[in-house]
Amino acid sequence: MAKISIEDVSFSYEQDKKNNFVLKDVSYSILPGDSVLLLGPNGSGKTTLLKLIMGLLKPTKGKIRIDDADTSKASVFEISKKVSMIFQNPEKQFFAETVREELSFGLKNRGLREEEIKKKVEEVAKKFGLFEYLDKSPFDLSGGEKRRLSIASIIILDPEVLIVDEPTAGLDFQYRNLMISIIRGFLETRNKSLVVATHDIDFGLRIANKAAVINEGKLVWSGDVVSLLREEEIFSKGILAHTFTSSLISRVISQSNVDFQKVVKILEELTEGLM
Amino acid sequence: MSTEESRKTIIRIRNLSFKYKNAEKNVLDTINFDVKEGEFVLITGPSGSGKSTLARILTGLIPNSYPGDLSGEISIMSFDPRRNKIYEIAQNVGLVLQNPENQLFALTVEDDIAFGPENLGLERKEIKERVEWSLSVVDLQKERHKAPFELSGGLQQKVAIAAVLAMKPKILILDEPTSYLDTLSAIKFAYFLNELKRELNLTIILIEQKIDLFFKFLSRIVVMNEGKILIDDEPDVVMNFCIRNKIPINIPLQLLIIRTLGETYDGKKLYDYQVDDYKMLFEKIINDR
Ligand SMILES: Nc1ncnc2c1ncn2[C@@H]1O[C@H](COP(=O)(O)OP(=O)(O)O)[C@@H](O)[C@H]1O
Ligand SMILES: Nc1ncnc2c1ncn2[C@@H]1O[C@H](COP(=O)(O)OP(=O)(O)O)[C@@H](O)[C@H]1O
Ligand SMILES: [Mg+2]
Ligand SMILES: [Mg+2]
Repeated sequence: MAKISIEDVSFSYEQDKKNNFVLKDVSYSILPGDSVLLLGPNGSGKTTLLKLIMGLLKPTKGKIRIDDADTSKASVFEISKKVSMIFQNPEKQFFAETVREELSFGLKNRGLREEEIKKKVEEVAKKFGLFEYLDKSPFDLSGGEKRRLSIASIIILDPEVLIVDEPTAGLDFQYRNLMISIIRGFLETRNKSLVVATHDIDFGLRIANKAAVINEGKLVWSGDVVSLLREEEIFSKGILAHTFTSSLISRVISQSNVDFQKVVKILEELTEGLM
Repeated sequence: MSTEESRKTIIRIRNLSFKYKNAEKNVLDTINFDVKEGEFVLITGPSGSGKSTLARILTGLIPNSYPGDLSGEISIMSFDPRRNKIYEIAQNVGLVLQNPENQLFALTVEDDIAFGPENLGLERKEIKERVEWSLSVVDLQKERHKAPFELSGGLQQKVAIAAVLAMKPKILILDEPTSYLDTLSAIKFAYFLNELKRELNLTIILIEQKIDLFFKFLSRIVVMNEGKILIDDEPDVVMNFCIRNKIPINIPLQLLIIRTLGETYDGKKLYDYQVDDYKMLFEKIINDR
């Protein structure tokens, strides 16, 4: 399973000017089994970092390695064998005429047999509530449906490392919960890893075990999720903001010493109307 | 301040149905919906339930840009999208879309905001004033010369709002505007929207999943499902209905905690309690298990 090393990476979109850095000296490692929450305000550089990992952008300084391959030298196709990314604006990524073709594309490229593809596509479509749209154009779907399709088309490829950019933006209650169970399902396989850039901290707390915080292009904090919740400074300085739920969790685990996983579970039961 | 009763009804919809061209079934099915001047109405519901479609009708995009079969009575400040053009409606009803990128096209933020007022044929001075005002309202003065496509999602959403505000609409419709905002920006945005509403005397229709951010500002909540309005009432009444009937929407956690403990409450006041009050209540829930 893949290991990703980000080594002293700086990046500027203006390749000639080299001073307007959007990322500055970022170092971080993502190990097999890690589920990393990438947090930070709008514009802090999260999407840029994800694109660098995918090899869609090249570091201005420093390097990123996936196992031993330098992403500046490897082709995007090579990288995509191990790492897959679900982008933030899914409608931009669609190219097929039907939902079915969109879902089949990656599998065809891998040379799967026709019947096998059909079976997989229909199974995944059902799971994502897209079955009745299989013959529709991706562009005629509603916002939430488009997002589900973009996620389905990556999950179907079963990558080693899954990278997701703002997966819950625009999702309703049910599909946000579905997303959580899909990501948990993905992480059940040993040594798969996940990097998710999100500002939905409530969602992140339900799936991640680690967190990295970026502010103005700098990695300002990293550690495990429970320590993040005990970290007051990041929240009081306005780099991150608590939601009502995250502040409640933070207080309960740090002041009353209740186990984090237990708190998350009870909150889930509360919101799903099981109590 | 006028009482609810004496306020003018500015949107009146009766038996509205709509089917997109070439689609098989209605996406909106005999909807009745009124909005009074000065209201802050939140519309929520599962994806695909027809919320954006309703917003497109209220702004004239349907049937002017999206063809289909539209029937029923529609009066939006006396406009009917079947008789009036989009630009006529746009001076009264502004729409901020779910994905700001679809709304931005000019080379600079400033130009994007100026685009609407320019198309209205306003004087240079007036256009300039509106651009300045809009930029300051959304706090984007620093980004004014940047290209919208270079901005991150959250900042783009602010540009989209500024561009709509520059048209000085009386009704503002926002389609899931916080989807791309970080938590701090989203919290600020909720207060900002409420202030904006008061200052400019706006009527707001907000399509949103994050009910808790806006709860204390709302006059009403409308829940849609499969092209119909499931319930349309005061926030407390709607929340109780949704909890009782297990409607899959984001019920604010504060309400769930109180309700689980079987305590009586006044919904709006719940937001005056401190997190520590809820922490005590929540610990009671943990201990009860
Ligand atoms: N294609 C681009 N060209 C120039 N600047 C960009 C581009 N994309 C993003 N930026 C800038 O880079 C910074 C980081 O953006 P981004 O990585 O999208 O942040 P985040 O995902 O954390 O919101 C922002 O200031 C943004 O304006
Ligand atoms: N341009 C379109 N053409 C055909 N069908 C559409 C179009 N836009 C949306 N729909 C369909 O109409 C239904 C309602 O969509 P929408 O109003 O976007 O829902 P919501 O905003 O509540 O998620 C969905 O089933 C969607 O697939
Ligand atoms: Mg981003
Ligand atoms: Mg919508």
